[in-house]
Amino acid sequence: MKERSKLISKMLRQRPTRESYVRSKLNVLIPSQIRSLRQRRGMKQCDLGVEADMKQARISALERIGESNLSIETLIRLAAAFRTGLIVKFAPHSEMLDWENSFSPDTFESVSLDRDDRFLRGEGPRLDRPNPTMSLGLQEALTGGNKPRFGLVSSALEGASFNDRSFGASSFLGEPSDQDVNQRGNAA
Amino acid sequence: MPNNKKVIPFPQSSHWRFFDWMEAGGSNPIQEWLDDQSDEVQMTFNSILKDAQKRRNHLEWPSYRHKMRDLEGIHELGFKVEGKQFRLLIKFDGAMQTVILCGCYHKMDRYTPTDALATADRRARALSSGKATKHERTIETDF
Repeated sequence: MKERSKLISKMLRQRPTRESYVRSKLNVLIPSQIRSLRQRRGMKQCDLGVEADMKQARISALERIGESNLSIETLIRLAAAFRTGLIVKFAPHSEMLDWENSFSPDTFESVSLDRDDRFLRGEGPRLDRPNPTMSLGLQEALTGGNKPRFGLVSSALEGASFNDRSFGASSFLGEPSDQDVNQRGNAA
Repeated sequence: MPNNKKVIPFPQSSHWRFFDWMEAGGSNPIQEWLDDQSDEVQMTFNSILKDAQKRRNHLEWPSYRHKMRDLEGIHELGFKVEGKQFRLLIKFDGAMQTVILCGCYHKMDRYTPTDALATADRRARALSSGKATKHERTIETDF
């Protein structure tokens, strides 16, 4: 590869180089994850194809580097077939690099829904340590500032109706949701 | 067995190591080929090796294609970047060691350069006979 400093300088200046960087990582890491998860679950490509409602040839292409244009919808179908969740988030390059460096294809696993006890029992996020997938504001809102506590997201919503729960993170953060605004408007 | 001849087992590597095939004179045609490619190809190439080095079974590498039918001991890795099919012709050489013999493109059963397969075969033979050497490739972890 070219000298690192030259590539960094190019990335700082040119959007296409930044796109290339992200694409080159995802084009390897996504097929690698699909293959690892499939093998860990003892599935053949045709088995995964049945679960995801895709042809075996499509699964084969998804597991090869750069062979398939991956859409979020395709990843969602695969996640559902694997019975796992899916996180797509914007992240600093350093975090992306850490992810790539620490990714271990032979041990990679994502617990399937039927074994995801924390989710099945209704426990919320662990609040005793920073959660990199949660915004700082949401963490602070849930922990009451600096006070770390174990707890359930659902406990923060005690007494809230199903519709209230649909407010999402903005309710925790005290920001008015569209529904809040509408309700206030109606009340006025 | 005399006591002074202890057998020390060679530690089995947990990671694959990748080598560039090199002329006996010291030139590195693999690096030269790579230098001619776009940034994205170079970055993808590095990511492929980073992933492959950690996956013990080479048949499970996402880039692994097949063993070449008419070329003994030569295997093909493949990836697609910018709409182009790239191929790396490789040879396994020792425990968890892979030598990259040649880089090329592939389209409709044709390799570019057209003599890519012959080149890989010739280089593999030169390596086996000690007429060529190999240089370990550094897999960048800071980029």
